[in-house]
Amino acid sequence: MARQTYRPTMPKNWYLKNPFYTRYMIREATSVFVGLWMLNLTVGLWRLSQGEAAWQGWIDLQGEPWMILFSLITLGMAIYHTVTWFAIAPRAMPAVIAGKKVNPDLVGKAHWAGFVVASIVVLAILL
Amino acid sequence: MSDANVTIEIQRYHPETCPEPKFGRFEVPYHKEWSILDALQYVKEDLDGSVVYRWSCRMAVCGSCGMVINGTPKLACETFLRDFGPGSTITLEPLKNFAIERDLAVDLEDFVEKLERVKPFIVDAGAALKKPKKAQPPTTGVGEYRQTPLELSVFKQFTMCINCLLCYSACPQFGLNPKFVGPAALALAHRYNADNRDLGEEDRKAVLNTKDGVWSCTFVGYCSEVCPKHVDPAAAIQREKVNGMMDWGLSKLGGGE
Repeated sequence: MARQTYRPTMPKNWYLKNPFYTRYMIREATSVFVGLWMLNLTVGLWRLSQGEAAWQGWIDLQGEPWMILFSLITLGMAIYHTVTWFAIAPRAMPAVIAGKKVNPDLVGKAHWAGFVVASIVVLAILL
Repeated sequence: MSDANVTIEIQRYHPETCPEPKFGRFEVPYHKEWSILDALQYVKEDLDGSVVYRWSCRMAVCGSCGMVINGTPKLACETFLRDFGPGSTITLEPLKNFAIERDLAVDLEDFVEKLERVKPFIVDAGAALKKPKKAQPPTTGVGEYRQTPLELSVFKQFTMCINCLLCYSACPQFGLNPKFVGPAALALAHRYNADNRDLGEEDRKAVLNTKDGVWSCTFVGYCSEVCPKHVDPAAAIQREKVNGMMDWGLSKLGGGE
């Protein structure tokens, strides 16, 4: 006789059932905001190619309250992604590179060092 | 002992008598040294002999008593009534993402089939798809195969898996895609790929480097949280992704091995 098993279905809101899943889904969702902001930046570059008036229009748009709010949310999301990703990225590293055992702590610190260096370079160009 | 009790709520499913899962409530005396497994033994012996669950070693070695305890995948033998306290209510459900056989027992056949597919054993030169370029390293047939501490450290943690399947219960990607080979089987595949005595990496590629292989994993990471043996299957899968990507890149360059 064939066995009669019961296959439960996964609830649509499974990611709300466990805080661990929720934090994961927020990390995934950060990409939407970062993606949209990059789209905004791409539009900015395109407007720049169309001359000064077009560029100034895009700059003015960035000053709109809703745009500032969107930028702030995106910044928060990007920080969240950075912190959570840097926390788990060391575990994705190969155990041994060039005959040397990889130290996950050092890999994590190297990520942050890279972040600091990149931030300084960007700020140096801007300021 | 005091006359304090705990309430154990067990999800019941019997195809003949209880075709829709529902909870059964049992009052169990509270003893601080009792594990959830002890409480289940009490239920089965003294309250209801029809309760079905799996167990064997009762010391977190066999991996049989994995279940969802108050929403978290855990081993019943190393979760204690004192973790919840007298008077508490503890819900026991079968592992998530599996077909339920009866009560707390799930169907393991699909997992065993996946485990077999990743060849969780040392593949030697005679059996390997891709023959080694160099002479085959010594095998047990000619004596000891000595490994350096470094060579051992690369895969040792992944040998600790007891196939308890808590990681499958923790994995939403497995829940969404039952074809996903899943954390434990992929961690074991990595355990052998990372072992320098093994020559089966090529054999395992067809299972690993696919949509239902390592690429179904999105690094949720909960598998590693619930693992009672600290195997960190999520790390194993990410490392296999790196290997798969290198392999793909090299093949595009016309090189590879």
